[in-house]
Amino acid sequence: MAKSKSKTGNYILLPVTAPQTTADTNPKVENFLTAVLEPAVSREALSLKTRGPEKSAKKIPVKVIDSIQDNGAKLVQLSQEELAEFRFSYPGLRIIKEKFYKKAQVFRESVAQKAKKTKTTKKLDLTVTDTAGKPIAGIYIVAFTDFENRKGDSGNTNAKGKLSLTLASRNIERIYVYPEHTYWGYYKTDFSATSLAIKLQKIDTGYTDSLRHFYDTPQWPKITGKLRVGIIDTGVGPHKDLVVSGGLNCVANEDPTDFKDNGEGHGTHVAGIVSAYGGVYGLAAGVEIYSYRVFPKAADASNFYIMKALAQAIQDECDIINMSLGESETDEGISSYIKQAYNAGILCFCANGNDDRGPVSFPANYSLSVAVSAMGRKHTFPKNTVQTGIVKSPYGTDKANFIADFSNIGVETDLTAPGVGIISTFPGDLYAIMDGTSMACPAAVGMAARLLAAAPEILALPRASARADEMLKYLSTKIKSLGFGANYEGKGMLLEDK
Amino acid sequence: MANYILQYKGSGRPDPQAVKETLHVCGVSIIDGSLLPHAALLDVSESEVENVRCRFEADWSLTPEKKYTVPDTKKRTKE
Repeated sequence: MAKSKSKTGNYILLPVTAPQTTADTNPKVENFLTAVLEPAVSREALSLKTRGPEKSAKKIPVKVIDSIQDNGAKLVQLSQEELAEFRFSYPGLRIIKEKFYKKAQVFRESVAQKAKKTKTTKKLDLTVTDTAGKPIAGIYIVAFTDFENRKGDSGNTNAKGKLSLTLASRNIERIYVYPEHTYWGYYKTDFSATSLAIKLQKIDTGYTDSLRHFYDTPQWPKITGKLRVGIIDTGVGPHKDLVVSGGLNCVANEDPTDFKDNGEGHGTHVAGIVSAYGGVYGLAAGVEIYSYRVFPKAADASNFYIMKALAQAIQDECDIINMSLGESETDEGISSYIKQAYNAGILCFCANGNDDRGPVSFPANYSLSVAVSAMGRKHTFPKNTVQTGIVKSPYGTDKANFIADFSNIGVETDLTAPGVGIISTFPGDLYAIMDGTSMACPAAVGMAARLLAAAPEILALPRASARADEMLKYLSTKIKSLGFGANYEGKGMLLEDK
Repeated sequence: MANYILQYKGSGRPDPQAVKETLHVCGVSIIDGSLLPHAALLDVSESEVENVRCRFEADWSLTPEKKYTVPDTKKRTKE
């Protein structure tokens, strides 16, 4: 069934660097604002051509409602469905959704109904082993008797692979088993039991996960051109499949030269998706990886560390920055450095966030970020794994494809990429399965890096906003819609030319 | 005491010595000065926040440090 057209919305278009164009503005952006949009103020809708091969070029109807100056902000109306298409076809502009502010009102909090204490009489005894029966310690398990209200119990298996959970009922709605590395997880719904033996399946690095379904990375040659990707995360490596060329530990009171992973593995997994080569294969093996550690061990990252990481990545002349992190609130400090990166010809890709279809997180929702949602594909993970619980509509044109249940969505979404059941590197030469827009983001970064490496004339442009504009324009010709709708996938997924 | 980020919003390059001197006068300690003179992570007592803001005026912002968590998709029970 054809998807219905989404509603139109009002958006403010601004040059990247200032409210008006300046001497540093890309002349194409200046011309677009002054010669294309300005004369159309308050007239009939313009019909703007999309970027791409002539035969597949489409028209985007845009109505210019108002203008502040000839070379300044424009208020335009366009379809939400075509927003991502517009963003990629006309880069170099900040696109800000028109907002309306209410009078400040006193908000009165009400006391929430106190939950009744449940008589905890039912035990669920769990044993976790590998397929040969060897106990596995340290596995995090959570069981729910009432998933909607998140009622249940959780814990980690002991040295004998055992864990006893205390629950309100023996009727379990859902149980999730999350190994940190080496094994696939486990998922089961709607059963009644007092004990359960769970056998975890070891990761086969040759398995075709959702990433390798779309991208045949084991067959791809290493990139030989010079391209630098900055990973702002928990640190990267060491891992035999990864080469880290430089970076900085941005955490206060830690060794600045220690930018390897803090042990949590998130940054190493992200980096592997971009550039692993050996046991598993990333999308852009051969690119230079720079690691900027902003997460202290088992602690949160300060926005200041993130600002510092962005400043260093700009100084190190990265070409693309991966930010698989986010929060709901915007942060002016981080925004200013993302803007500075863009003005230095660097693209920042950011994860949409994992709040179960919540609004796109910051910094992904910042106008100069490339925001990435997570999708998955049925039959690219074994049965009874955690990933089976992530399948949720909308499905794509190919009904096996779906948007991950956890992925945040919204008009700020630029791209989608595989982020369900992804096999990648983990510190200590291990491999792990992870899910998240954190994994989708480096998938998009890796593909962008591979595509841009084939366009040295763009990478050779002076490091200014026009370079970032041209990178985006070039990438826009390589994006294909998977049929989820713009709110879920932006313009679609970066794919190879076939 | 709490951590605050001081950030320069104006154009050009502020005088690093003047920034340090102003912070010294306010009795504020610098936790991380690696981004000076454009930004710094400061340790500021609640009572001093307004004083620091006033001394640095409109070209500067002073905002509380925020924290970002490592994202994951694990389901959790309510605490």
